[in-house]
Amino acid sequence: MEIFVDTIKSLATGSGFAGFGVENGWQSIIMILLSFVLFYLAIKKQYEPLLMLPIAFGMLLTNLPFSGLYHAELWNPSTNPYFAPEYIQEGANLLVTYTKEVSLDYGRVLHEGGLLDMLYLGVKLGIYPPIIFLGIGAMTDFGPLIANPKSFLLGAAAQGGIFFTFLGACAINAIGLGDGFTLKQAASIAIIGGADGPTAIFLTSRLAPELLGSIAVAAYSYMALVPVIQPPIMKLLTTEKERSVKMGQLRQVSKLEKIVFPIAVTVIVSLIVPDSTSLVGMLMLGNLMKESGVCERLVKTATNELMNIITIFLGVTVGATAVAQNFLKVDTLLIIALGLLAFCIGTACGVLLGKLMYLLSGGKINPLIGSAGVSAVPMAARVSQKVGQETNPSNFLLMHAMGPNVAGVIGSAVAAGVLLSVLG
Amino acid sequence: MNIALSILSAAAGTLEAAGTTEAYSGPWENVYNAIQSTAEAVEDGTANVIDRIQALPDAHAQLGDPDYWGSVGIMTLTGILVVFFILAILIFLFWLLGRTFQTIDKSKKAKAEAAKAAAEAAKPAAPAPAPVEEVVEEEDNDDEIMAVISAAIAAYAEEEGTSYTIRDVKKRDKRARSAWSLAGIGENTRPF
Repeated sequence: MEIFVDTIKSLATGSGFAGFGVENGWQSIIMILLSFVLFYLAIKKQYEPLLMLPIAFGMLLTNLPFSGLYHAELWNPSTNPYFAPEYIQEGANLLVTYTKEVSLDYGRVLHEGGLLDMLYLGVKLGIYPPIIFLGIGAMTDFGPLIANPKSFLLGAAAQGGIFFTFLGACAINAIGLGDGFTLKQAASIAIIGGADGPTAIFLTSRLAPELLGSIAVAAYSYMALVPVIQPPIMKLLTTEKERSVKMGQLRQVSKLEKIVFPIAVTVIVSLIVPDSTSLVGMLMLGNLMKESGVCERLVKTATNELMNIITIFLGVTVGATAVAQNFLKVDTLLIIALGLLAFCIGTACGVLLGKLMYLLSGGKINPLIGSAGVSAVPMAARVSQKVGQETNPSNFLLMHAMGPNVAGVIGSAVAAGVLLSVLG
Repeated sequence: MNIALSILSAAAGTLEAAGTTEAYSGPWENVYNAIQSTAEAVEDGTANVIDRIQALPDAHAQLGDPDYWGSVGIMTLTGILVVFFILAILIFLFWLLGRTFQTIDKSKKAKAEAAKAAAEAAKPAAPAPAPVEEVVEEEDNDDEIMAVISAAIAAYAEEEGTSYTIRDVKKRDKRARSAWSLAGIGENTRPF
């Protein structure tokens, strides 16, 4: 009988339910409930479900006590002091002194890590986001951008959201809300304005991995909300006359131009901002494979199987970083607010430059295509199309908006590279 | 300015990492030396303010640094300018490329057309097609468009072995779209 009671006792204390009873165990319950909210958003509301669903499930798994799938402490360099040896020759003796250096101990991760720790290596080492970019490149048609290179300007303007939000996140420190954001954290939050999930994850995993969960959730939520967030700003900043501008047909782009494009962009961007090479390089490799027309099998794999596998790994591990002690903070609410600000400013910057181009071109450019510069392909371009058509039902802006839209992808990767080179 | 200098210093660092730690001599010697000396000046002087701020343990300590706002402001401005600069280079490049390709295309087309015209001139004139009876009542009399519509219907009628008469051609509301066009738009804007 005693053995039976002991067994039941040990089972009870070893079970996850006991984990809820320990200090701060209630936080895990809140996180699990939050993951249910994300399930609702992903399944019922269909907010970027391909990523939101794995993110929500990762969040659920990581917050189940004693599951041991993900260990936040293994990824915190301050808990992994590395003692670097230094050898000094003193006469016939060789003296060794050890200096404490704070760095990540990958050996410990491999020894003690769980399933999601192993998969998280792909995020931490910057592998998944560039592979996703490979697939995106293989699916993207840069034709509208090549036909109208001025679209690059709109793609650049919309990145204003990133840099102004960086300023905003630093201003939060001055106000004294929450714990405050370091420069690296401010840059990671600001990149939400790039409206590009892989880029945001790439930069955050390098600069402020502790914020990865909240930044990824904010970024993908807002990307899903582009059709709600953008139209009011677009309408506020433009007149009906500007919105109803019909743009001339784009010229035909030759195959050779489409082949030269990815090579030239890679060379130029990588030479100027080497830190963005992994993102831009993979994006352009995917595009070259598509445009060359000689790698059909590879294109099929990059856009389907490979991308799907990586999307699952990326989603579930990014969700797993949302452990209670990192997520349940005032800072998370601030990140969500700043992310929205970044989206709004990015949209406004794009539309305002579109207005300027409207004036300079003598009314030939519809300023609505400027808002598509925030990336979020192809959702942002569709929003330009929809708002344009509300004003003038015979207007068809989709292809014109695709130019700034894909330019925005390049622009946000460049912006991430700039932030990485200065702060990394 | 400091940031621009730190970027230069990073560039010099890249050169060193590339295995050129020894004195470099070659066609780019002057450029290399200029970058190197600037990088040294950066390390010695007031530069790397950002590194200094980043070395501070938390956000509040960083905020307390006297150069905090200056650095943040310059980083914001430099960031925007660098993004615009790179994309401006790409605009120029692809504008140039586009122009070149268009010129090549035009000259090719002109050649092809010249060759076609020469071939046509060599051929004997084709017999005139049989006249098709049509009654056209129309508001704006655009003969060319009428001719096209008549020709299309004539071709269709010939295939079917029946004769057609155009009684009325009305201009449609410009804002309306065909069913196919609407279907296309519907497909492209599906989530709304």
